[in-house]
Amino acid sequence: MFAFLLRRLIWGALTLWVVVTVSFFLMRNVEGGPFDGERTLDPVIKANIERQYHLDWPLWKQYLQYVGPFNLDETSGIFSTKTVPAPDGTGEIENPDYREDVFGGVLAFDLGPSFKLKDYSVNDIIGQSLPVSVALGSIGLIWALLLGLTAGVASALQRGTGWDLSLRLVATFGIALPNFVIAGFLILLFAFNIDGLPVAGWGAPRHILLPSLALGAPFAAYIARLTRTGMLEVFSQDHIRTARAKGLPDHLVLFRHSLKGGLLPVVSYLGPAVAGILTGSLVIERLFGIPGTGSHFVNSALNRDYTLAMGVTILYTVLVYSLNTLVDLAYTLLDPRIKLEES
Amino acid sequence: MADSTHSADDGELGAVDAAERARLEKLLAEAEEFKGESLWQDAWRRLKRNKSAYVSLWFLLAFGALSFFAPLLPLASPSALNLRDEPVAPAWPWEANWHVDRAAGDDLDTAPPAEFGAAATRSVGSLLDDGWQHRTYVDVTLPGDPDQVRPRRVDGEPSVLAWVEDVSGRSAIVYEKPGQKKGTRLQRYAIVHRFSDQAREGGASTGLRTQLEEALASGRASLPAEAELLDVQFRPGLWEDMPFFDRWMLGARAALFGFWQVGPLLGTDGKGRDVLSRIVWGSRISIQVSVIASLVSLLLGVTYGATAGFLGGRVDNLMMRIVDVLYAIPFIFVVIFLITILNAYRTDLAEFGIGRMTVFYFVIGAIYWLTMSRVVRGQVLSLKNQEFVEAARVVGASNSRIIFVHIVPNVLSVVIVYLTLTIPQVMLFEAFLSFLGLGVEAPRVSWGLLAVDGSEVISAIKTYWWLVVYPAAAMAATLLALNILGDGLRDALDPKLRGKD
Repeated sequence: MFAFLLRRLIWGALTLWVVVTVSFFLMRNVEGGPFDGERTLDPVIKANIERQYHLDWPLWKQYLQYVGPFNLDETSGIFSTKTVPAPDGTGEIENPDYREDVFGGVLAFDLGPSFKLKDYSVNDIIGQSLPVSVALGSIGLIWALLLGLTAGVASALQRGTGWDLSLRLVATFGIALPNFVIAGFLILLFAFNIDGLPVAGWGAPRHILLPSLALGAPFAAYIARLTRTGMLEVFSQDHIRTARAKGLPDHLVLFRHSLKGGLLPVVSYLGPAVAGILTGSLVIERLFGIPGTGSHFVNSALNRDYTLAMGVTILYTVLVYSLNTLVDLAYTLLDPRIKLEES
Repeated sequence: MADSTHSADDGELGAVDAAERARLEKLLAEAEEFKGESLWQDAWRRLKRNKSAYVSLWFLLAFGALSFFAPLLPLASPSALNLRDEPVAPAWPWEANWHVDRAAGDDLDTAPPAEFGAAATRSVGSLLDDGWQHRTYVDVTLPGDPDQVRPRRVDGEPSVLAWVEDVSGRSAIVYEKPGQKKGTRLQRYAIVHRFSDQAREGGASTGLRTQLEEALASGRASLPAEAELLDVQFRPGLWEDMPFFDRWMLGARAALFGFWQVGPLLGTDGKGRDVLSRIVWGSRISIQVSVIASLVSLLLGVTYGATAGFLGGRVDNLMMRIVDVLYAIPFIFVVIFLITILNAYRTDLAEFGIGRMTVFYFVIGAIYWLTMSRVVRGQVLSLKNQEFVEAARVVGASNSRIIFVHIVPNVLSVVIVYLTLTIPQVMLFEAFLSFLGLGVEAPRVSWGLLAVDGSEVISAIKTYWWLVVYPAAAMAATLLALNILGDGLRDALDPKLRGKD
């Protein structure tokens, strides 16, 4: 298992490096810098801004600064000196920032400043918005599991009846409609016909219910389908027939003997589901006006705030990659027949 | 003697033979009667028995034909704008709001900028927009530096640059040709000339060119003095870069239906565009994107998977580990990031002939190849060592025969199933990107854009339900049909279920 984790770690680091490197060089070669606006800036001001963000450095140095783990800045980084030339040109004064930030860059978990949201670093923005997205995502996942498992098991138990048919129909719609259309219908319904739940905003716990439901709905539909198939397959197996033949009550057969086997496909789907929920929250956060990482990411991508967009991309890559690894581990624990990849 | 024995033997044998031969001939006849069932025949039979999948298949074929022949249909332009205040509600032909003038340019501010007084023009061609207005392309040599002229923008329409008055005093508006590069002194503009009502009603006969010539001859319509009638084509609104066949279909449509077009059967949106027309035209782009992107993913996945499967051993192992790792990456973030960066490189890429759509195809295709490669590799690995392949080898079949006759058809079934299940995913992804403003751009229209338009009007005080319900219904029906067909095909092609019912 240790070897498996190590291998995963190495591969993950390699991939992340490729993503960071390719997008860094693409990003820095884009014509029209992040500070080009309606008005052309005064050259002195522009030079000052570029110095502030180290855009005047050679590209390789900018790259090293971005990747880290050492801060290359002359005033506060690892190469900073104890004294700096005084601003009035008379001798030298003590450097107040001497080696204040020795570490920097992605390897030191520092994603740099945001180009568009002045005075904020990417870390600040992520720190503020990630809890929101995580809350939304986890409640969405709970919705997906709750609705999906219930519907799937009920469908499998009631196989062939009207219940089964209508549940499957709803599930197929859930899979076939984009989540913003589902969210749209939910908003329509709750804004005009049903009182009680707010359709926009953030803060109170009740704000989270609708967006997370819209977020989890397509995954609930898929989980319901997986559960139904998995349960039906287990029901047809010999050990269930034996259990039934022994005269075990239905609930024992279901909970003790069937569920574990029937839910295996759902566990392997959890990895993609988590990734999908994180992605889906880009849309949902925008629709419901929620200040999460997803909406920041979309805005940064549209506003060409490359550092922020890249920071969020890196964060989510790491997040999803580790969650997927965890799911793979959980899968082997649940199903002893599956061995961790051996190579 | 020998001869006689032989003949006797022969006779004996012949006697035995007669019975035997009759039996054998009967067998042969039976064998010829009995047709072996290929995998595909069997699958087709079982698909036909699966009612919902069979209906889905026909629905998809019908819808595909509808969207392919969209230029032939007498639909309103999907992109011509009419900036009225309110969307028009769906109407039946016998209802009052059925006939709505949906021609573009009603609400434009058409006062002529003074700079264009002395513009020298030369006509280079002309078009018909929307059946009701006539567009003449002219090359205009501007008196001043064109960069100094600030065209007024009208929402969605190309910039209005000048205003030309024709002999009869009817107005024409000069548009900048969309996509024209700024900074050249010689620029191509379109003079849009509105037909008079008489000209509209007069045009019931054959081709548009004839109609226009007749209208010109009888004085019911006229052209700007500088403009020379070169060619008349029927094109809806802003669909500039239309392939030849589509233009031909538009011509056929003009010959068939003249100026007649379907009214707002499914209503219009906030910019006066017909919803039915947008759904049909949007389906073209959605289908195009999803099919091409799926084929790209197919190509990548099959090549990668088959290579890994055939080579086997360490190469296979390494290739599959790479797939495992890529699986665990949230590609959509990377893709959005890449698309925004590539958008900045747009002009450079356009020089190489790489349009936004091409980027789209490859980017989307590049995400969805992973599963395909896994599936194909697994199939190839298991097929490589199967008895029937061994048997073919023993009989002396060549490698290429084994690959193309024995392995490919077996992989094909899985590939087709996976393809039908990928297409809806890609459609959803296109909708997702369009929602974020990174997908298809106006004046083009896709289902994603329609769903976005719909979801934008939802939160308004007044609900224009037809903008949400109809596009969503079209999308849901198609995706549903694709999913059902995919599942049906999987069942039909599953060798485990073969011969069972």
